[in-house]
Amino acid sequence: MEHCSEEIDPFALDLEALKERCLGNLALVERVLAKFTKQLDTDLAELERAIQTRDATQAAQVAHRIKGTAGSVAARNLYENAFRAEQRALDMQLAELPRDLERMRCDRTQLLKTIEGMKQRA
Amino acid sequence: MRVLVVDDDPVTSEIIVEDLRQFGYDVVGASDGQEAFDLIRTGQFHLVISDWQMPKMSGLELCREIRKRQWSGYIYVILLTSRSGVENVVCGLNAGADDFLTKPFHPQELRMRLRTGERILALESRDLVIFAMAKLAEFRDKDTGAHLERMREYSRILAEELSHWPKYAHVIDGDYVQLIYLTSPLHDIGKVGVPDSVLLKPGRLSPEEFELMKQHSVLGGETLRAVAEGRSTAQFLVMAQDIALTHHEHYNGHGYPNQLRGEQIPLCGRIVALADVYDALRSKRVYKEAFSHDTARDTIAQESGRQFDPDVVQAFLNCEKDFIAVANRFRDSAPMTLRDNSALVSQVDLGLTDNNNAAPAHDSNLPVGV
Repeated sequence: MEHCSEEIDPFALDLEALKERCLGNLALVERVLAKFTKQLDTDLAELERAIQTRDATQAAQVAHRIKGTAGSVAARNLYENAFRAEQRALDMQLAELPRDLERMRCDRTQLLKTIEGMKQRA
Repeated sequence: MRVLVVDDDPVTSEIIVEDLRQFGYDVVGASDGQEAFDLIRTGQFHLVISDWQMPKMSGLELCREIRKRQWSGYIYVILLTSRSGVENVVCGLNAGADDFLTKPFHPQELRMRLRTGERILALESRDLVIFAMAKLAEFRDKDTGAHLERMREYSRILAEELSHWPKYAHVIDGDYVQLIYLTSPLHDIGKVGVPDSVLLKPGRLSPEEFELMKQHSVLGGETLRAVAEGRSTAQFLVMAQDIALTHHEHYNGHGYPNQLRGEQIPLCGRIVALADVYDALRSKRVYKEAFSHDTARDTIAQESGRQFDPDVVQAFLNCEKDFIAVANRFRDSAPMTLRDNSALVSQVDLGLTDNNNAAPAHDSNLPVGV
């Protein structure tokens, strides 16, 4: 199992980039983060199923989706890990995917911590 | 300007939609390519931002579908995707995308790319040029007044009515309606090729002169075909060509130039045929007063299945009030004069002409006995 750091990783979420992408609209930032984290849970579960059933095509599609959304909300670590998972799935390197999934779960945890920290500071 | 944003990712879609609204655009979202294509068919969207990978229909497939058919105006497509690399860019542009933006996007860059699209769409002043061309063609026929304005309204009304019928739902959509509105004024553009000696002759036309006059439909069709051929940006002229060539055909095959019958006549030609005759009946001529709507209606109804497509006649009967409103709104102030030689062509349609003696003048499409 991948070890998740207790410290908040500054690359979990580039809040300034996200604010810029949302043109400074903080209400929009809040909405998209809420939508994203909810969707991420679903996507990670779907990725797990694809890995378990050794469905590389489905795994690549889900990883691509996670990558796209992570990029939009400036969740940099998650973007990188999803990108890596997508490439491995496309190359049929299924053995590495469970580790990629664990990394993405860590990224999710980090993301939630970052969001929680934001709310507390607000 | 209305923008259609197509993305199956609700997070990215929301960011783009809200950003564009903040930039002042009127934005609608779709979550897959098929939904987007159905919205584009309404004719309301000429700026599209689409994701690449989507269920039901991908962004690439959407581009191809858009480019396959003719529209009332150009549709500018920006593909927004996390795919990158020369191969993917070439693939996207080859499918018909106009621009390619990689995710994660920067909103200001997206805004600039949209502005580029708007500039390109603004270059399209085609509708003004088309109407100007049509007006020029009518110029030698004095006192046609607001004939073209009325014609396109009548054509639009008929097309809109038919679009609600199940039989025509797959043929007529919002875009078809806009296209017929745009191109129906070109129906008599071939008249520019009719000599003045025939077009402006105040008296009766000889059979030979009538044959010359009849050629205006062939001339108009051929001219528009030559312009449209091989020019993907001028595909709207394909409908104009059909209208110019066939608006004098009769449903029962007794029209001209090719004696087409029934559904051999393109639907747009059948629609414009009725619109043209209604306007002729409602207009004053040197030999007759303007008919009332009731008389025009009864005359047209009698020709259902003969000169006119029964479906188009029924559509007309369903929309009488709209026709009356258009006739009132675009009423000609000046009466028709002898120079309105479209009135003199009609004997050809009436079948009254023999080789030796031209029959009394009528409008080119008026039914027998009018």
